[in-house]
Amino acid sequence: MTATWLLDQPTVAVMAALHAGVLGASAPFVRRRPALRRLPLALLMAAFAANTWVIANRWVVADRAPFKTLYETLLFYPWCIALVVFMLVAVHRLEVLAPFASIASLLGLGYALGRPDAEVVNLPPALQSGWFVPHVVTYFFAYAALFASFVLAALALAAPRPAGGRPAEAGAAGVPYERHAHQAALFGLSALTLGLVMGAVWAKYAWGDYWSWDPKENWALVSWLAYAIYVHLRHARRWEARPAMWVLAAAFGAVVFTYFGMSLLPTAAGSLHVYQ
Amino acid sequence: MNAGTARADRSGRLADDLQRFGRAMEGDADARAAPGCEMASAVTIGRAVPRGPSGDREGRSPGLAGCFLWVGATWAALLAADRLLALPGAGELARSAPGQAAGILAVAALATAVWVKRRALYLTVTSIEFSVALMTALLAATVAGTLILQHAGAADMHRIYGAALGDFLLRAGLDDLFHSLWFGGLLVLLCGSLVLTVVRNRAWQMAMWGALLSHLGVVVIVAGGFIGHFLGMKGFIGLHEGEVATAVAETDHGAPTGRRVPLGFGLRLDDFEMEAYAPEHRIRLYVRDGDSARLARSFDLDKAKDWTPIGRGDLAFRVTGVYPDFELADELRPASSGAPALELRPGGDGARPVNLFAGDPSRDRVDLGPEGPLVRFVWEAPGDGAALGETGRPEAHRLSVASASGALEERLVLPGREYGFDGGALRVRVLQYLPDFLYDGETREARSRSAAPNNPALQVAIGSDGVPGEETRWLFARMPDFGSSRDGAGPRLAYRHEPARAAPDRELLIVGETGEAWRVEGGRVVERTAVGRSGAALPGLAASFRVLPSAVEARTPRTRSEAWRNPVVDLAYRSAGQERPARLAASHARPLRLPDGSILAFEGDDEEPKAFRSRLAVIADGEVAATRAIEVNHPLTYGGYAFYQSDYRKEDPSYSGILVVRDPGLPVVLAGLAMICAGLLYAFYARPRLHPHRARP
Repeated sequence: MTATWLLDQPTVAVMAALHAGVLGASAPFVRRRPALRRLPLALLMAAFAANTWVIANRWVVADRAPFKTLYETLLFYPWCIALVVFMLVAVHRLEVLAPFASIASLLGLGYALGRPDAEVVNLPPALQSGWFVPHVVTYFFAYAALFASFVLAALALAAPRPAGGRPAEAGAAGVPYERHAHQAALFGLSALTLGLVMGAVWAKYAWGDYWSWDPKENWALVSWLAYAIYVHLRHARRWEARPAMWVLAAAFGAVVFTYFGMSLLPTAAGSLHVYQ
Repeated sequence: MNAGTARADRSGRLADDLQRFGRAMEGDADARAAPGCEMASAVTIGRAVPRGPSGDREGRSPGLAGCFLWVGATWAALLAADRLLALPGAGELARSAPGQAAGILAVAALATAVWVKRRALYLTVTSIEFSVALMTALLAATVAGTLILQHAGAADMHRIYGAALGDFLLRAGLDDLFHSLWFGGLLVLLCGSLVLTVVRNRAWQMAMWGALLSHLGVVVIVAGGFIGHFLGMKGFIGLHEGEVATAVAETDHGAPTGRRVPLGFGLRLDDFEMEAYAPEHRIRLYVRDGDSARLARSFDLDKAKDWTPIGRGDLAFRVTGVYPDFELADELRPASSGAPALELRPGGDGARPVNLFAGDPSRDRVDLGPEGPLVRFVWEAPGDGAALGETGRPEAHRLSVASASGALEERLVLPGREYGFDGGALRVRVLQYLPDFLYDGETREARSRSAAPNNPALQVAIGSDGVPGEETRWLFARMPDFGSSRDGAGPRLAYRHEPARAAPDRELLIVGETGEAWRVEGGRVVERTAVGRSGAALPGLAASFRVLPSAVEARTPRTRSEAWRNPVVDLAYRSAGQERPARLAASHARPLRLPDGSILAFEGDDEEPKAFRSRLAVIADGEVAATRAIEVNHPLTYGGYAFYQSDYRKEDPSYSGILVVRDPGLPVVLAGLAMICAGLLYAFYARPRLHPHRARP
């Protein structure tokens, strides 16, 4: 166990400042200048680099994967979101996601700055498994992809409805947000499924049960069902893109609750999944 | 219509259906308008199907609202059946002839209704709306299962939710929702719907493998789960090291059923160990957070030797001393007001010292046990004729009285006699002596447990001048503080017990003035050695010593050893320019309150488990067939059973609790999990690349 107050706080503060910079650089009057057009992405990359440093440093100091406590995951999810955004920028030129990624990151980093872990928490025996890292990392990538999907669905819904009653295939700037949102949701659902499967196999090896109706497990199932419902609805002929986008946006609520809401549940006492 | 034609008719219609859906897959507009065709697009996940703005209301599937009604009705029927079966007497009724007849009739009626409505039902349960309704119902049930306490018991349900709501939740079976008949029924319905959907859409074509695998994967998992539930078993074995178990105590959801299942082989626990994380002692700063204190910062002891800011302004602290094994030792300090003193460390430097004072018979000697001599310290060399050898002596009682005037008097006393203290103003009658005091709660009398002086006690009666009557007290040599009267007023009495001592055969007399050590045997000096006033060269005794001509004792903090047995830190903290000392012990939860309301505490962590390890041996036919150390996450599998490390007892370190699972459904479930993953990856990623012409524009 090591005191960690001074370990990551300066870098986390730098990260937060860089994310705030992404927001500032995304303002329309800044982006209008051609020379500064790529600034938000550059700042997001700098934040991502600082984030990588914090995670790596913590991994070395704690001598274990830093995904155990709420604080540690608050430093990890901005990393996953940034990575997903870089992928979407590379493939689909979705630079529009950068400021949204920074807003989400700042929410977590703000809390992390105010409530840092005072000490590195030891890993209990149940979490000492080769499944720990792939299970958590897969889930966080799923969450990051589903966050992107949520933002894109919201952008699709915010785009003006074209005349003629056809669903919005393209947003105001000609970007087919609905299609990108769907692709991100499919990626997220695949990752959710992999994470769920890994968790089930791990639980079988750790406790003898694939599934024990633990609240976090249940909410993981709720998230999975919500996205499965979306995928099925979207393929029903009577459901157009727009209502499906509403369902997609709402499904992200289940993800957020699965991540942050567990301590509010009366059934969560004693769950190994609940952040202390 | 005879049975043959009916069957032909049915299969013909089914084939007709499948053909139409087949055409729908190829984008036949007519077929797409056919009833239930939306399902075709449901399983071609990731594929663009041009959608018309209007739904095909002419189709025979009942639409989303209808499907919700269907699912709701199924849920209500399952719940009603579950509750009926739970009614008292339902079991006997089900076994009686009329009960069974009614049951057969009900099943027949249900089967007939299903048969008559088979086409509508088939189109309904294979429709995408039905799958959405069913998944929504499962989602809602799962959410409910996290909001309502599960397995809480009737008393807790009533206490937490109130009588009315608690009663309702219990009646509806919502306190064990995930194992209820209706939840299982909905899962079975989901599987049936998935199988029929696969059939209806001919999903075994290569283009639909993704949908086939992912949908059948769910069915396979549920099937594997049911196999494990009905054909497998769960149980528990508690073993101490060296014990062998040949049977398992079966459990049902963690509670023992009372049945013992023979294993067919023996399981022996050879060794159990709990590995702990290295304990650490830290200084922690807690700040107020609402009603509770929150750990804000934590400091390594060796990193807080300099002033460390811990709040607003100049609030800071530093560690001034660390004592892993703290004790307050009586150390000698030179003082002109003192007496000649000897500091003796039997065993040499670093050992705990004994301080002897010359001239005080109660403090000038120390008996070093059966092996060592009696060491006595005198200042001046005993003259001729002085008694050299210490003789044996009987047990003695010394009574000391601190009177109201502050004077302290000590006397040797005998039971049955009366003594006057404080110039005769205080009369003390010694009533009785109990060597091993025990208060018998039944007879309400004090008695002696044994003749050994384990808890010496003296009963005295005290009378004062001018005060009528006597006050009776018990005085205990082991608890000197007990000697004051109940209200704290009056004289303070203390009782010192000197045990009987046999005459030592060897004595070492240390003469301070001349710096000599005399060996005395049988009252005669056999050797005189000049040893000086300090050193370690005492004849016949491994000890270091130091003589001080005039010294007093002072209490000084020190560490007895480097082991973290009784850790204490000395701190200095400053606030508003003022510096104050503080001493914090890890064993006492008495932290330091800082002026800003935060708390500085010195804490040692309990042994935090790092690993639980049971070394197991499987004994088959009298021989060890396998050995393995199991840990959490590393079970042993043998003979169709898996053995999991699952319990330990802190107070019983040789005990290990082992969970035993026999799960014949395991390969089925693993296959189902793999099917879902493979199916989704194929449908979402492989298929669009293999069949790019079918991908979205």
